[in-house]
Amino acid sequence: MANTTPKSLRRRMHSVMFKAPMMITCEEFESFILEYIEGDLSPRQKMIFEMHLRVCAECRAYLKEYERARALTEAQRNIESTEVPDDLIAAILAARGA
Amino acid sequence: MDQNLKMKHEIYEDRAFVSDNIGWMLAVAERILNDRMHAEDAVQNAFQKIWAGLGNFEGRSTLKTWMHRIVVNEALMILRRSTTRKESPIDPLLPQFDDSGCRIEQSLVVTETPESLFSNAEIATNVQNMIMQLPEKYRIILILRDIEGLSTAEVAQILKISDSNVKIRLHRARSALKKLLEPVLGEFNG
Ligand SMILES: [Zn+2]
Repeated sequence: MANTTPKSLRRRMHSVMFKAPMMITCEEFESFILEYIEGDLSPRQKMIFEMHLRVCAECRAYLKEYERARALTEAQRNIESTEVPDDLIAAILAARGA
Repeated sequence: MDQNLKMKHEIYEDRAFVSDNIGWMLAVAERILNDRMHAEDAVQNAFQKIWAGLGNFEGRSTLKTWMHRIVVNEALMILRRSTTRKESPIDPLLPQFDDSGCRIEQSLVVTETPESLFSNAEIATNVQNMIMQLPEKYRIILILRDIEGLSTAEVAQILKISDSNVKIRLHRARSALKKLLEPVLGEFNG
């Protein structure tokens, strides 16, 4: 239980901070992530997004893992099927002749 | 060239064309269908379309891009016909927020090199298995956008849904996959 206090305290501090002008909540930050990555935010939205990123360690960690997961997904692109059965090639070539 | 020799040459070319491309085409179809036999069917159908259309190929994209879209379409066609399996909802995998919109997340210590814990091949297999756990309407979009490299507009057109729907599902799919990959991405911090 000892480490739940700092977390709840930090959350309370956040909830006060997020009400300041130009500040967004983590939930709002979440809804901007895709557009941020794709470069679809306006300069003002981008600034607000990056401001939250600077003050919020949770969202920083979250975005880093999100990007890492995306990179690992993209790496799947390089996987080729190694087993190619001869009868499949034969069937494809037979259909070509027909 | 005499007729017989010309025929032999064409047969040789056809065989080389198939063996050069069948590996990546099977991989694409297997990712979408998660089933080897169905993937082979999709590739076989794709080659028929490719040969039928090769004469009219306009070169607006590269030959490989054109072939890639054909195999994607053939795989999706088979996917739509096959019975859908029962799926668990995606919501438990999405990020949580408290009443004031603050992220509730068990934070991870991201290991800079997860490669030190797992080999590249192990990571790739893990990622592949986790992608398969995503509900299908999210999985397909993740595959088409992030692996197959289709644009939002292309995915929207193929799946007959709106661009914004593609984006919403893509973001949820990535978030859910990130959650599923946490054991690979790092260790929990406290
Ligand atoms: Zn935040």
